[in-house]
Amino acid sequence: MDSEAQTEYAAFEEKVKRTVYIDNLSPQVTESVLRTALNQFGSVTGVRFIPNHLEPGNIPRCALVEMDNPKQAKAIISEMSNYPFMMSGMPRPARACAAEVEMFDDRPIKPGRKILCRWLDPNDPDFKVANKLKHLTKKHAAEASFMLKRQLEEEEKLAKQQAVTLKANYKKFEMIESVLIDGTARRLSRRYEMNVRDA
Amino acid sequence: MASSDEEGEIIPQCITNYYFVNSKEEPVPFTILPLQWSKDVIPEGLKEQIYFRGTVDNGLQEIYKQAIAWKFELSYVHPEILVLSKGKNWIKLQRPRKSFESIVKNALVTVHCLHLVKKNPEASGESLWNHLLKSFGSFEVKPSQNDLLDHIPLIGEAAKRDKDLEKSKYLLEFILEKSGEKKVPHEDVRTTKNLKFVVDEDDDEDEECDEDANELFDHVCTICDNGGELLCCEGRCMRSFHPTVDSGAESLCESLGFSNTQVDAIQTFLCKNCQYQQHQCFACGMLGSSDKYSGAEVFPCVSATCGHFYHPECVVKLLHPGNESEAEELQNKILAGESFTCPAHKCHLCKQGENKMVRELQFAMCRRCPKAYHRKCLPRKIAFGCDYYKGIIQRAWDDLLPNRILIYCLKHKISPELGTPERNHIIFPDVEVKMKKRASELLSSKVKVVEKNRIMVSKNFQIKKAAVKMPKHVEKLYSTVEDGDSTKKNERRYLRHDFDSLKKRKITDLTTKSLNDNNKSAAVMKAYKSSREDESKLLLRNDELTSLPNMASNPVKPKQRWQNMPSSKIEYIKSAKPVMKKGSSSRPSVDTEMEKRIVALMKKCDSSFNLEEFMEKLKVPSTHSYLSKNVVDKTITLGKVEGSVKAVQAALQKLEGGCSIEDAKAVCEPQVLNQIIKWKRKLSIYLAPFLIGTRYTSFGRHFTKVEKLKEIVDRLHPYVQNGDMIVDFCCGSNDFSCLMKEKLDKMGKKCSFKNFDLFQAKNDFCFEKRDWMSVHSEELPAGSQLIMGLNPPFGAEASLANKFVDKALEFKPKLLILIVPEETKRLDEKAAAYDLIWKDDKILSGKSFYLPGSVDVHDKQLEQWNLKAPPLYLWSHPDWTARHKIIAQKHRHFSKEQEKMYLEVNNIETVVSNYLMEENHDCYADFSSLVGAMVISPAY
Repeated sequence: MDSEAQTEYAAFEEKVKRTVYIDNLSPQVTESVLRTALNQFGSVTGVRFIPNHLEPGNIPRCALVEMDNPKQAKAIISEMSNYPFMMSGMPRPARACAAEVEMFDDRPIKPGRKILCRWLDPNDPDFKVANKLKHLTKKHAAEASFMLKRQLEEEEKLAKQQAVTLKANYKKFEMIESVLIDGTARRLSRRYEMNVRDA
Repeated sequence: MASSDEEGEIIPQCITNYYFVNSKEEPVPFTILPLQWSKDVIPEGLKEQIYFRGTVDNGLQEIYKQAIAWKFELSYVHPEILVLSKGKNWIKLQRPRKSFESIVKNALVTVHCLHLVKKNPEASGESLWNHLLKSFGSFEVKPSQNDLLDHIPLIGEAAKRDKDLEKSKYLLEFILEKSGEKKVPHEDVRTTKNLKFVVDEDDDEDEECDEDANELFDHVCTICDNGGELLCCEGRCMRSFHPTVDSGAESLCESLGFSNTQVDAIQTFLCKNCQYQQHQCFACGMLGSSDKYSGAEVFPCVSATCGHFYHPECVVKLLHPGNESEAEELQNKILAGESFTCPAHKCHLCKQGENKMVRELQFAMCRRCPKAYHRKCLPRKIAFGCDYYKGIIQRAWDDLLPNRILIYCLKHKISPELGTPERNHIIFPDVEVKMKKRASELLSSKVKVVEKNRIMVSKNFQIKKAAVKMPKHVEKLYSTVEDGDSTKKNERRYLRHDFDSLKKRKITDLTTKSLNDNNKSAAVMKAYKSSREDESKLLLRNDELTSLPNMASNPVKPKQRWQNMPSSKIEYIKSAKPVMKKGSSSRPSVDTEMEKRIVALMKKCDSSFNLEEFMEKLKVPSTHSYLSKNVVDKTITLGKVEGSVKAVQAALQKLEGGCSIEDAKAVCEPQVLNQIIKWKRKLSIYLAPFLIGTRYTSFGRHFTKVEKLKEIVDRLHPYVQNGDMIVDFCCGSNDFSCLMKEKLDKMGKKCSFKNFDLFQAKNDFCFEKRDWMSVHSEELPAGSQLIMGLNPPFGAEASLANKFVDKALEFKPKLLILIVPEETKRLDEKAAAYDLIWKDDKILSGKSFYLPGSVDVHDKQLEQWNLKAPPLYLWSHPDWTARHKIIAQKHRHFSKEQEKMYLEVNNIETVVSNYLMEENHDCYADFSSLVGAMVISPAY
């Protein structure tokens, strides 16, 4: 029984090493998008999105992608940190890092570790400690959510900025296109007797 | 310049992209030609015939001529090298073709060196080489003394003939040292005037892209008329400004007074005039509304590169002096919306137009009023140099405007301190008074110190500005806020900058006082916060301070609030207090303390992040580095595009209305057409990812499909011999090598493999993650064992493909198998020509490629076909051609035409390519540039 749990855990640890944690994914990224995107650096054996129970709505997502071997996983991480890797286009490049044990919600019990749950009486000396921990967790959650909000704001700003630049450039593009398409430029160049190579 | 006897042909005066070849078409340096020392002595001819090739007429024409002699000219600002063509015309050599650079480098270095020495005989060897290094910065191999060694006789001869050169210590030492000749003849080197070095840093050697991007529009600051680091206004005025005091320090430009961080934060800069649509009339200098929709008072000149506005009544007076009826007619036309060209597009003297191609017909444009002269018509009083004794002040500069001369006409009094007329010519709406005041202020502060040194000046200047002009900055900032940009960031940056700068300058009483003030205010602020100790106290306080406006849910009347800041702390804090309250009361549920902490942390994190360092860390493949030039830089402004487009339309309209070509060219010079097409190309590269859509996943590669690779393997394997090495320089998924190995194993051939790619390949068989450009020739076996190639990235106009192929040629492989677009430079046209064994333009037609990592709407691997399929080529090293051709014939690899050709032993090739696509799917044609565009898009 014990050894069985141990081999199971060892296998799980192997799996962790093969797995890449991908973060900052656009909500539009589907499993197949992710799979094909990473398949170019190796073979993807499994994709699992990590659901976010804390924050509602349209926020960046994360996923665990299992590769064929640890080497491929490493290659992906270095590839994605060296070059901005976009999935499903603008605006955010995805991030990658090595997966960690705690990221898996279906992880097997670590051999030799026992978890016991019980109710605590307010008079119990442990009650204070537990309460403190509880508050700390709540505080962390609040902090995380505040920070996320801030980050999203900044991202929004950036996206807006990008959109403005993009729009401006597109306007220029259209403007030039207009004289090229209606032949004005061509006719003028003929008048000037010059050779204009249409791009 | 000599005139030609050939009818109608304009003799090219300058040639770029040049190279010289002998009768065997081998490249040779022009120094092989006889050198002409003095005017009349034509040196004896050479037995061998030397030809030169290159483009003239700004790239519009190619020439190919026989050369008979060369000479150099050191007396101008830039050294000139000229070559005598057989028709006895001297042609100036500008920039050699890149591949020719290595061959002529030593000659160019020698001439430049002589030029520098002549200009400054006192120069030490060190400063000389510093200058040469700069001048030849774009060359692959840096200049060195060894370059001079090849031309010792030339240098010796030059020194004999030129007194200035003879005086040079450096040259004498050099010649003495290197040739071990006689002693220094005379040691008393007379002090010559301490000429400032004016060296063309990258005139001839400049890369093509930069050159043509700046060809049409001037790149000088509107305020001080000097070049340097400039910020272009996005609007119709098409002007540029020095954004920061530092950037304009050389010309004592008061600049726009931004800080560097502010400049970085500016996405698109719109000058005050364009922002409020209030432009100055270039004739009378008064501001007027230029808003077309609500009664414009001033109208822009329609000429493509002219950003000047005029009152109709002012401009018609200039256009039709003394003819009131005509003037009135035109005035009415302009008021009705008709276009006009301002007087600056006709020579003030001869009333003829400009021709930038002909040096004598280039324009000298006054920067202060609409007056222009041809070079030939320029009044002598407008001098290029200055002479204090004769009372001549420099009024003309040759190298500041592209193909034009910058002048101040005689109407304007030159201020001796500034070297330009008084700089009160710019009026921004609202701030006119300040501008003028500031200019005089600046002048007075400067005059005092000007002899001491210039750095002091700018320092003083900065301090003054920081302390006195703060309110104005704030105002400016808030006006940009309306654009919906990152208000808070700006605010923060602004604050931090000023505090930082204050910190630095404890020199003057003024600043120390304000520093104290600010310190106090910061200290009071501290009371509102958790008292935290930090070694960088001031900085931290700044952070806290700056977090305040961020908290404000609504920055109420920021102008008022901030204006008080530098002078009185109390008021500032007063106004800050309610803001604080507001911030906390609006969000009672969230712990404000925590929020502040997190915001502070985020700030800290923000400020510790250095974008430049980060960019440096990011490995950019060598093949993409050039893209920085291809980026839609900030010089393609909306105003320029709009102006050019309008000018094109107006010019055609004029022509069709029966106007002369000359007049049309004043509106829209021919180069504008080329320019807008270049712009479009750049823009479309930048926009490509967005035009393509969202189901696109990074890196923009395209791989050849496995079935196609199999076909290629079947074709290629007969050419492979035992012991060969097969190199795939851009292996992608690495399928090719695997298939090849499989096949060769079957055939019983033992070969080695090497596969390179920038990105991790799916299959790591003999794979090395390397930039192909970084592979050295020692790392691979001899060329006789090498078979290389396959599908490189194409790049815009096959630029990347060319790079990959050129790199491959360094290894001299016996065979090159390539999937490259038609535009790629053919290998039989290269210096080391290869022979084409066969070419197949059908094998890769249809859906031969796929986009790794991208899925289509149905989650299928995205396939790709090219509008025009790239052909598959097999090129052979000349030593092996015969052998390979036999194999090709044996395996019937020739296409029908080729077969015929092979039999006829004829080299004329007819390409039959009839593949037409049913649909246009060419939007993917340029992946590499997509990657490039993404890497440099503003997000990173």
